[in-house]
Amino acid sequence: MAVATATYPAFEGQVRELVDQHRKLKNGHLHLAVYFAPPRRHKRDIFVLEVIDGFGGDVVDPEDKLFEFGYGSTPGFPVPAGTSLRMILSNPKEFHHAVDRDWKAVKELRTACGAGQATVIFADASGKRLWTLIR
Amino acid sequence: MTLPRAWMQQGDSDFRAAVRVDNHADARTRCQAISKYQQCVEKSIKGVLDKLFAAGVILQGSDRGHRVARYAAVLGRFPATPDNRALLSQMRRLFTERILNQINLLDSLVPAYPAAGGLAARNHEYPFQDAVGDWHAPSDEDVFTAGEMSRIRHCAGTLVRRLGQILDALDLLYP
Repeated sequence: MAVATATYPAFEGQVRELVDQHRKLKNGHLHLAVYFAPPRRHKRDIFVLEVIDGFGGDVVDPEDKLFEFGYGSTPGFPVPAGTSLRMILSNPKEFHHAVDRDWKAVKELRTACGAGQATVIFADASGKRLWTLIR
Repeated sequence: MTLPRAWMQQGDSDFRAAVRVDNHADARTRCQAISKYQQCVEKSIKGVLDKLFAAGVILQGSDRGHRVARYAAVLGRFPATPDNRALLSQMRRLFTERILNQINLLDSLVPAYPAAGGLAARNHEYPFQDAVGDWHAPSDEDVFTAGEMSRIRHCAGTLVRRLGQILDALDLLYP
């Protein structure tokens, strides 16, 4: 059986460029961006968490899930076949709630962090406080 | 007809219906117009989402939910290229803070039953409660302001037009 080759942290440069683009957007202030590799997920995929002011109307997901969305290869973020960019997006209110209740995505983030498989790409003062909740 | 085309056509029809119902002289009809504007926004976003999904650009299509602000944020955060004329970059520019705020507002007005013990929130369809628990109908004259109507109308009109154009272009790019 073929074993998928892990991509972390090979895409850090591209992730930094993407996060830099998102920092410049006027629709939602970015507090925290983390590039990470959750151990039980597809090892070729690229996982990026962003905590953004106002995301989803500052609503806390009623099903206790952080919103995850996958992109295929795009001109702005080309990836090889079999690899996708998976963005996990939240707002500060929801992220606090998710940490308090230890949602699945938070567990994955903690595990990746504990295994040295998570890199903070950007954090403002508020984002640093959020990240200490994970560490 | 493809699914994305069917979404977009229905969204366009919703917009036309909303404009007919949107009677400036009668504030009691505002809830009805908002209902149609919300449907228009939801369907036009779902049309583009499902087209991008069919093209393999994104890995999931629309879901059964009526709230679309999260998907709009995703469309607005596409990885950009230096070429501002690129289609995906145009989509990023469409979802401005102003537009996203209105989509968030429309999401919040989708009718939903309150959680146990909670108050029924303002929406465009069902009776709801104020902070002290008194009941109101969405068709009360003072429930939605003229300013809210103006911003919602602008948001729906912009999205149905621009997302329709983007879908046309996506159909050419990913036939």
